[in-house]
Amino acid sequence: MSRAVDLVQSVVDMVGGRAEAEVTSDVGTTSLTRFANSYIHQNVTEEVVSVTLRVARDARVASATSTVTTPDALQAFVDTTLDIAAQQPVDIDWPGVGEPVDQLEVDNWDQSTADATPAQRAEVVKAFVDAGKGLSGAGFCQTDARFLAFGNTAGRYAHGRFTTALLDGIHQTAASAGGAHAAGSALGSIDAPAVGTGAADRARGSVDTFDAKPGDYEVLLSPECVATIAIFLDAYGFSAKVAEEGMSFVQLGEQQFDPTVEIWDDATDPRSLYVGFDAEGTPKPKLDLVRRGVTTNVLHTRRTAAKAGVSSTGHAAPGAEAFGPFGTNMFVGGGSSSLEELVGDVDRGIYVSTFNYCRILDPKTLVVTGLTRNGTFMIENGRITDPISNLRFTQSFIDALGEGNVRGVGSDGRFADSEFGPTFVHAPSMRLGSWRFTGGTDG
Amino acid sequence: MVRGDGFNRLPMVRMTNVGLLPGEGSLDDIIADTEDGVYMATNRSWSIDDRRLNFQFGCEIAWDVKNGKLGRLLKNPTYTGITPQFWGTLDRLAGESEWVHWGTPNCGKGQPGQVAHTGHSASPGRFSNVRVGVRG
Repeated sequence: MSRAVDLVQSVVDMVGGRAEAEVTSDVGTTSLTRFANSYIHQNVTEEVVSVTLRVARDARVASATSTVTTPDALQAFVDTTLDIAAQQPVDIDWPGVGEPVDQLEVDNWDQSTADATPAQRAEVVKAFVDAGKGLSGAGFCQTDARFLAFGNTAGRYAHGRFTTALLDGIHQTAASAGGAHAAGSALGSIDAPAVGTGAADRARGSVDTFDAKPGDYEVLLSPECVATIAIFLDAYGFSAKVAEEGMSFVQLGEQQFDPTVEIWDDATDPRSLYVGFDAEGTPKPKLDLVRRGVTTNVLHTRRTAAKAGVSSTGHAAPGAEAFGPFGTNMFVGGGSSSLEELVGDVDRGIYVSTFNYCRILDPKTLVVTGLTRNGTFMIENGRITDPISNLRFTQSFIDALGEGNVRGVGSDGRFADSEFGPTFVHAPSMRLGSWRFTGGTDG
Repeated sequence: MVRGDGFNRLPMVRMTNVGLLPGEGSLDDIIADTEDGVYMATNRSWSIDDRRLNFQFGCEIAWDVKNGKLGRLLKNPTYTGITPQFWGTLDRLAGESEWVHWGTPNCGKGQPGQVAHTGHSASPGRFSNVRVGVRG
């Protein structure tokens, strides 16, 4: 931790009284063990050291990041960034840097994960591969151990640490593939045999697909699919920047979702990953976004908060100034139904394991197009029956979670991979009354 | 062609400069030659399946084309299809005067992720029997 803290203090001191400044440092390791054709073919560990500086001279703002941290290099980095700021136009919305504030107690750290060896990651990979005898496995196991520190010229300081562990893989037959995934703060929490079995079952069950006719279907969505919906709500709806620009669906205080829908962001939840402060050093307490289907809040950075006349909620993402606020500790509330019970309640529908390549077509209504991938199945009379070829959907994610369309919520909440990454959303399976598939393998 | 985005990344295959040779005529010529269609401009959304077959794209703006003239403005235009079938219907491609080497600054792939610039040359083209206006 001390190196990250020392780097921040060094850069704050180098700026001195020449400008307002915010400094973040990121120090640690990221390790990846990758496999294909059921063999490990790559094992890499990267030592991460970076310093990000944002300065404001008379509201002329510039940001820069450096990975060279010798004293001379840091001094040149600071001087150059200040010179760049002097060349910028005045930023009329510059909110200033934040005053000192009490930080949250968040420590999502697992020492055994920080110390994980290539051999330990290989054991996880082996368990995944062994669960798919006769199949071809591919994917990766990744462990991260990072120290983050923040400081600014107003005297606001914060520091924290986190570990993460990921297992993401597919099993393949000659004609099909099935995927599965797990993430957490501890490598020991990854149930690799279960992940491998899940991928293998989906692959074996998808050998002889048929082309389902596009149309409106009841669907049972895996946590991965629900996480994708949530991350689109997060980035393109709950962002105060998007709302301020008039591009968001959000109507605060309105019943915009089914009463069963609960969404919040909470860095303090014991299940959460990462640290308890954002890129501006603002603490990240729990923030309700949807309560019983009513939209209650949007996410703020210091910039959006100043424009709205409120306080930042702590959702400035590193390097994402242009993008705006972004929740990285999202939770979608779980229900009481097992996956088997959810399937059992569907007379005729489609089970979707994963969405792929989702993109917005209409931001205001959050109409998104994307495809199914790595395991799509018919559900008939309460049973998963035949595998089907991948389908394209064109669907409003607001309508998908709309009043009356959520028919069941699973008790199987977990971190699930979304379009934006595997560690941002904790989500359950969901049974939705209607979902619009608009294309298949024939167009 | 393979390349990595840094010294510590594995080089990966990149289609950095795949383009279409220019055809003949102009966009205005193509519009004048079109009885009933849609002119779409400025792609802003792209999605394609893992086999690069089923695609759906959204554009910033579009206009009806009726009897060789641009008509009413269309909101949130989309087009979708199957890659080889779609390209098989290309019957007009504008000439060199409107041929542009378009750049894509954020082509992402790999684990850990890598970002690369790619470039694809094209001039305005006409495709027939394309499904448009997909709604959610």
